Amino acid sequence: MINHFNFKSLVLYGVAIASVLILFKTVTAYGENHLHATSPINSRYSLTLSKNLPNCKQTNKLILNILQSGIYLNASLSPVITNADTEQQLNLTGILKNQNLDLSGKIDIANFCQDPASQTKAIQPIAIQMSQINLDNIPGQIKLNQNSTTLEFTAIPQTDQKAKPKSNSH
Amino acid sequence: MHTVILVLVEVLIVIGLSRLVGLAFKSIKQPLVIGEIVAGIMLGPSLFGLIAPHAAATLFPPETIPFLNVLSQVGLIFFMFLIGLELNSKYLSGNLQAAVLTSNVSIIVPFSLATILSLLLYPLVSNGTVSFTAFTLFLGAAMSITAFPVLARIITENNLQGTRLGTLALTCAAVDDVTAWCLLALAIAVARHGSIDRQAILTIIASLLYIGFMFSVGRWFLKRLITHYRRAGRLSQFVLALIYMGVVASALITELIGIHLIFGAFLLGAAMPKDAELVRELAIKTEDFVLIFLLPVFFAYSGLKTQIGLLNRPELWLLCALILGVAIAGKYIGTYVAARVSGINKREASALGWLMNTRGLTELIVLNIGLELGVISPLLFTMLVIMALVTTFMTSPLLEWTYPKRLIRLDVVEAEAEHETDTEVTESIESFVTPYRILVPVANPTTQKGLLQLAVSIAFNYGQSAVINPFSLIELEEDYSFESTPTEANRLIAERRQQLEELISTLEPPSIYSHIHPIVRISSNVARETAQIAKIEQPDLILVGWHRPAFSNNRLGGRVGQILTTAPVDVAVFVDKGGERLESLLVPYSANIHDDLALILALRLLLNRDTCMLHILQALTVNQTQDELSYELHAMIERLPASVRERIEIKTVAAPEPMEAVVTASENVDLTIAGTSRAWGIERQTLGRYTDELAIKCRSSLLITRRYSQITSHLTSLLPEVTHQEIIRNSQQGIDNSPQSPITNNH
Repeated sequence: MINHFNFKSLVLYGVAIASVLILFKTVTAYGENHLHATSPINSRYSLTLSKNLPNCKQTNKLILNILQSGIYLNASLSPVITNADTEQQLNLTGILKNQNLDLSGKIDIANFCQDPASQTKAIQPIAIQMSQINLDNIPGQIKLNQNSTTLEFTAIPQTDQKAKPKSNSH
Repeated sequence: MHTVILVLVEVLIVIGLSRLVGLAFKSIKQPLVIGEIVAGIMLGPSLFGLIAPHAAATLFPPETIPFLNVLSQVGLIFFMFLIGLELNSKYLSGNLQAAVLTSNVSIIVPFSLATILSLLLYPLVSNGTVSFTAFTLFLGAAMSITAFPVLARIITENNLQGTRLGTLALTCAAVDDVTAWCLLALAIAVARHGSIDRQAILTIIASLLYIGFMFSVGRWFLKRLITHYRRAGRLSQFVLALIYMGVVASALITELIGIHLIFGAFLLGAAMPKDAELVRELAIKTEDFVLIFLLPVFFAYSGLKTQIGLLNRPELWLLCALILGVAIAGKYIGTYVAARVSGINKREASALGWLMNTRGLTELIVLNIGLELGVISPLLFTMLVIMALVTTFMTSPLLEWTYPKRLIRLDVVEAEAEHETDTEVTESIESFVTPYRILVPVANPTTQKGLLQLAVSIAFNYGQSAVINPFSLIELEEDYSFESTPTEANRLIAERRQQLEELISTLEPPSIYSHIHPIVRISSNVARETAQIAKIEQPDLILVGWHRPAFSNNRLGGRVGQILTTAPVDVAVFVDKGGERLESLLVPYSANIHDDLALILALRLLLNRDTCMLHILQALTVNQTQDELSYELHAMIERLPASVRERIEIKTVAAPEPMEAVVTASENVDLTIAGTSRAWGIERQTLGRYTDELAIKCRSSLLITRRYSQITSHLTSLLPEVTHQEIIRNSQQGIDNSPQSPITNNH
């Protein structure tokens, strides 16, 4: 009985280990050759708007902070003057696909303008599009829904001092 | 604010909150550690950062995070050392073959499913710098984890450590733990080098060599250390310093090899020869600071990186659900099938499947390493943290569902009950067949002899069989301490059982020893456990001793009050004023169900002790007439056998304050037995609190009774119980009990 049990469990054990190894080998071989994850993008971009917002004399220089998890992006848009160390709420969400980035969400319009009093409604829906994200000067546009304004901008990747901790740091 | 001051403030908040949430989770029967992990998440962007972003940014500014990281890494190193220390070859003593098979299959199945799942996840949530192989290995390792330390605590808390299921689960988890760490080391080696290349293989070879070194040279050195310890008889600071240096050095070596700090610490703990005394002393000295101070910082650090807000699309929640489903199904199915193949029955195999799903804290360690290496993205990290929490959270309720507490009943009690029933004279009346059973919670065996002796007096007579279960619960205050590891819990149980046996051997008469069966268990909540055991065992009475509660002066407060409120059987609380005599009893009687119970117990004592006298003190309130109250009482007493009747004396007092009369009468008796009634100043108030007026004023020892069943409201219902005992007794003694002298009745 014991021998029978030993034999049975040994067979099961051998088959199980062999199958998992074969499965792992096959899947990783397929994955390495056919599956491609999205390239990592910079986590910080400086945005220069091509023109001022309507009703705004001077537009702020903006920083786009992005947290990337594969194709899924979470981002915040804030004026450069904000203390860089303050954690920004990532209130924009979007997807990165074929080097094209789409972000949407709501934003406090005061972030755009140094004279926020001139704006009628502070929180507005916003959509940001950037294409050819691998370039040094990335063209893009911002759409503000309130007055259907479309603003062109150029984004420049920032060298990130607070780079993500990598393998050598604990 | 200065960074150091800010870090200290953070630590203060972290420790406070983690204890608070931990206790809240403990109260819903969850391991404390889950609460601590949740507290960490609450402090991060998922809750605190969401509701008060500015306060969160001020309190946890980025410049303090590296300090928290250092603290949490130190905590982790020593925690891993403790886990290694806890791994004992004793756990491998069970059904090793079944355990090895089960644990390996329980890793292989979730690993395989994770491999397939990574085909879907990799293009979505990973980025191009991570190789598919590293991603898959890591996801596989994360899915295959079983948290040995959390599992061990769940097993101890459910008193499973002595059962077949418990030992099997422990062995499986121990094997699982070691296998999963090896898998993780491989995943890290591959992740650091991108793929299984020459470098990665070199790292693996170096790791294997180091493991060999630790278990040969390292162990040899540690054995010398133990010889030194045995000679000295205590763990000196010098030896402790050497061990701690060893932990840090070993951690550094594994980091240099290219795996991770934690492995070195774990290895040293695992390689440490398991000298019971040394391990206990070392664990106790190390664990308090690590578990109270450093580990919550690790939870907070990891909570700061957990952003549940990242799951902001329905498809992401679907992915999270898929990960959860694969993790649960992989572990459960793998374990269940392997256990069934090994010949384990369905229910145990299923319980084992749920137990092995406990991932808890170990998973969190793995995930943090993954995030730190960049192998998993913040989004996947959050999904896997949710998976770890859910799988750990569901373990206890699912275990209770598949393997309810009533099935974990102690064998000794079971066996005895059956034995008693078999030898019982076959009588048609049910009370003859079922032994009268008293459950006696004994908190301190050295001071509660009086309580147990009273239980003996109530339970045993010449006829009806009786069982007394002195019931001692060992409450483990710290649910994560070394004390709550299964081996240690077994030692504590054996120690307490020994104390109880010694106490039993001092009781009179010796003939009753074979009917006293101690129950010793581990419990995290004495009152709740007592009520639960009462529900399962259905004793006739719980006889509990009075203790001064820690936080109030109320004699019926604290645990005694909780047992009075919650136990689903009759309860009697004994307030011992010293003196073992039980010659004269006083029952103040105000005609309610609780007083009925008082009378039953008094009559039992009367039957069991030939020389015992009973004084019944009838208290009449303004609305009651003497006749009305007396009728029932008299009718009942008339039907009692004469030998009992002649030893009963009834007095009636018509005082507006019956309390005073009782207090005065109690001066001349050995024991006063009173129901929880307003008349005696012992009543249940709002919030379930009992007042304790009589308990304070009574001059004799006092037994306070609380009847559970609300249906039995007439005194006549007591008669069968009492008269049956008398019949047995008389039939055994061969005495003819024709009606004799009338009862003394002093009105």
